Amino acid sequence: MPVFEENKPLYDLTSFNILIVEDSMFMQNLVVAMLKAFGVGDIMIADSGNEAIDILKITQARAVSQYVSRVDIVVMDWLMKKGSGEDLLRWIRTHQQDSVRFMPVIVLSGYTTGNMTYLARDLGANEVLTKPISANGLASRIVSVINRPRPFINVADYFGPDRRRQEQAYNGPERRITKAEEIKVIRHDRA
Amino acid sequence: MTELENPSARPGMIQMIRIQNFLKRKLGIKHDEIEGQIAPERIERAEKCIENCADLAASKMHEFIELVTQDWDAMKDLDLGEERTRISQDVFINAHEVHDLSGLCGHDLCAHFAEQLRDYIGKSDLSLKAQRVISQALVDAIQVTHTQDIKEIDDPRAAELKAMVQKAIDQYG
Repeated sequence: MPVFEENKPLYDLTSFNILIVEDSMFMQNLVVAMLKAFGVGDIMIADSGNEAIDILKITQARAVSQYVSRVDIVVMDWLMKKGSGEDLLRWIRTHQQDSVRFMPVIVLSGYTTGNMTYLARDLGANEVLTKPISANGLASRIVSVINRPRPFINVADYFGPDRRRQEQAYNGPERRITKAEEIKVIRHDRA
Repeated sequence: MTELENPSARPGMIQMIRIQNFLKRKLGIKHDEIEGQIAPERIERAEKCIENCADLAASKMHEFIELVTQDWDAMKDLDLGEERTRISQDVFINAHEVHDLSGLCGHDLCAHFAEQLRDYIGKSDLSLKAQRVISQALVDAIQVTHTQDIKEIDDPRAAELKAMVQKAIDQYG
């Protein structure tokens, strides 16, 4: 739960464009109302993963019109009839274009059974929020992707934000194949 | 476009990409170490949106419970086949909706049974009579929570319903 801290600046989210991917009209309306309450300027809605792909192809195109606002964050449901959150997240993280594959993604789902949370994480979700939705929960996930974007990791079986959230000293036996100095770090300025 | 290495080409390769914080740039913040927050009054306003839609959520929940019941009645005696698979998927999706909506309007017990039903249908083809008995028990439990307005998971009547479902699982599971 976010705790108000006097010394931290308040975010004005009017310049943000957030894409909601949700097949329930009720939830769409609710999330839109909540994002408006947070002060988000532009909100786009897709009824399915497939529709979200169509929207992102336009908004994230290399040469966008001045009338098209690029999507900054995707908030997606997981279980949808036409194009699931799983398919959409896979499409985003395997996309060739930087403005798509580095997109911050918040998964918002009531389908938390079994390995869904782990699957979303292992497909590269930045944050997972379980339903029933709360204002504090959604606010904290949005603030988290703004305040602490984790570096992206590119390995044989994963591309997405670093799944380690804490930096803790490890005193056990060394099991890594790659030594720390062999990790190639590059800086990326999103186009 | 960032040139990423092909990880399959070099076993054990790890590439770490530190991304410029474009969200902070968009907010006009030049230094990544500065952390901000959403104003508490804005969060309160968003929480009010949830409270304000509780009645509507309850009404929608009722609609989806009806759909679950109708679909379940339509599919339970059908033979395995395309039609049955289609309706079964509808029951799965609608039970999922019931779960989401009931959680929003404080019908926690209904959310509990809807989740159980959704997950049970998700992992079973319901081809056996025993599987259908368990699903029927869950559909009945959802209806009872709604018609008798049993919201809390620790309501004494909730224990009876859970026992009924458990009996079906023990006997037929």
